[in-house]
Amino acid sequence: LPESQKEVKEGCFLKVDPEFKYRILKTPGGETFKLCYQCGRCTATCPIARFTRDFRPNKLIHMAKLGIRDVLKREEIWLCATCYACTERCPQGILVTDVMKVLQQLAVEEGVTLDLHKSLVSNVIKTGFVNAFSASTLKRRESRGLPPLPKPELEDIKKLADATGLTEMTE
Amino acid sequence: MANLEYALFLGCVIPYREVSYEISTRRIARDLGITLKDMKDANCCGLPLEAVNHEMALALAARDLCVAEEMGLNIMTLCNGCFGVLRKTNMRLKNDRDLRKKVNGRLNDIGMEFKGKIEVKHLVHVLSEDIGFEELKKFITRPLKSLTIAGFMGCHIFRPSNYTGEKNPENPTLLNDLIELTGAKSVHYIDELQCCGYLNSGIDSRLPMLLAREKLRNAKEVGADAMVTICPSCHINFDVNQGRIERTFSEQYGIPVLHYPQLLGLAMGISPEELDLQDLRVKAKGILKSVVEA
Repeated sequence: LPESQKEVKEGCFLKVDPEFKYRILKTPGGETFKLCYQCGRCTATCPIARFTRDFRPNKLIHMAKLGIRDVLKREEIWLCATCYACTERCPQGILVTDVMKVLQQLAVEEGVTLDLHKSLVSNVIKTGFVNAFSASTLKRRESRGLPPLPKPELEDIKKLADATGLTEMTE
Repeated sequence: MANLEYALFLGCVIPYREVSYEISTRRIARDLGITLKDMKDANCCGLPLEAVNHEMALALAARDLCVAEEMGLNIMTLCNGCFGVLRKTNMRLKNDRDLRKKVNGRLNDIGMEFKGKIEVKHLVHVLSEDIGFEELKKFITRPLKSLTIAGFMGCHIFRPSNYTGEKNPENPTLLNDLIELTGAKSVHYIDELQCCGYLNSGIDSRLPMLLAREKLRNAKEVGADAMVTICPSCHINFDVNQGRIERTFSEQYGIPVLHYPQLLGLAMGISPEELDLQDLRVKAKGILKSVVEA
């Protein structure tokens, strides 16, 4: 498609990107998403959908299929609790939870970052774990007769973070 | 019986906030003849990064698997989340040659290689499969006949079933059977297989409270004396957050939430102190009294 047709002119209600679905299909975890026929079983089985107005997995999948890239800017894509109830019950075998994770990753690629992720990523790079253990936690372990916590080779973690593009996220 | 030696994968949540789960597990392991070797070079299982950077999540999980391979031991986890992601990664790397090649390319830079030599199990699998119910029964010296327990499986221990191997994902009976093994009565309640919502606490703290509150209410309605969990995240949501839930909704639950090894340990005659029951936020004094008196 010519560049001009990829994005509808500003002022229009929805921006549509016909290439968007291919990006999802190419991302690991997103391969099955086009099989969705909108039965809504994922939403019916979703515990988060019960308590929120906006989190509707089938709706998010439909938006993505239509090429509405702004789905990545919607806050509700972060509400998935990853319980896999939808994945277990989808009649089309769609890995719905994985598709939600793909939407989250693509959002990150487009520059959406949550505060939570910043601390998570920096802790992993600094310590190898998502929680930074305080000196008092470690001391308390010792006093209770528990063995020391694992200490991963941080040079390894750094190399992996560099190779997978995680380090870039902290810059 | 299988050789009961495992590489213990603690993960992040247990040492950070749920030490009583680790203490009670180590205590029952001692009596059951399970040898737990610490994974000194382990890192995060990768699960929290799946939403951010799939590649790094995969690399972290693969590195943990390699650490256990070098120890020559199967992994035993206590956390459902760690179990789910390590089991999934192990299976995918074993079965998908292209993926393994790609991941091994990365691991090669840190002097490691995934060979596919080990299995990933959760404590409940070690108990039910490797030791077996018949053998476990021999250790029950104080059957907890007076207790009615509402078990809470959590999610990643059985979903998605293509990775976890759960044969009946709509009605898994494993935790139920493990509870009945202790002599306690196991009760069913509405939404017992639904997510506790803990993972949302960093995004919207209201949601985990709403989800946990429902289960507490449903468990109370069927007369449960206590709940039992097998995942530190579920435990935080039901035990550590119970007071907050009660205050937020002006309700009273007062349901103690035990880690499964604490329940089993009590039935094995181990003292509540050794099982670190005093560390629970919702005190278990009431149920302990009935256990001791019986």
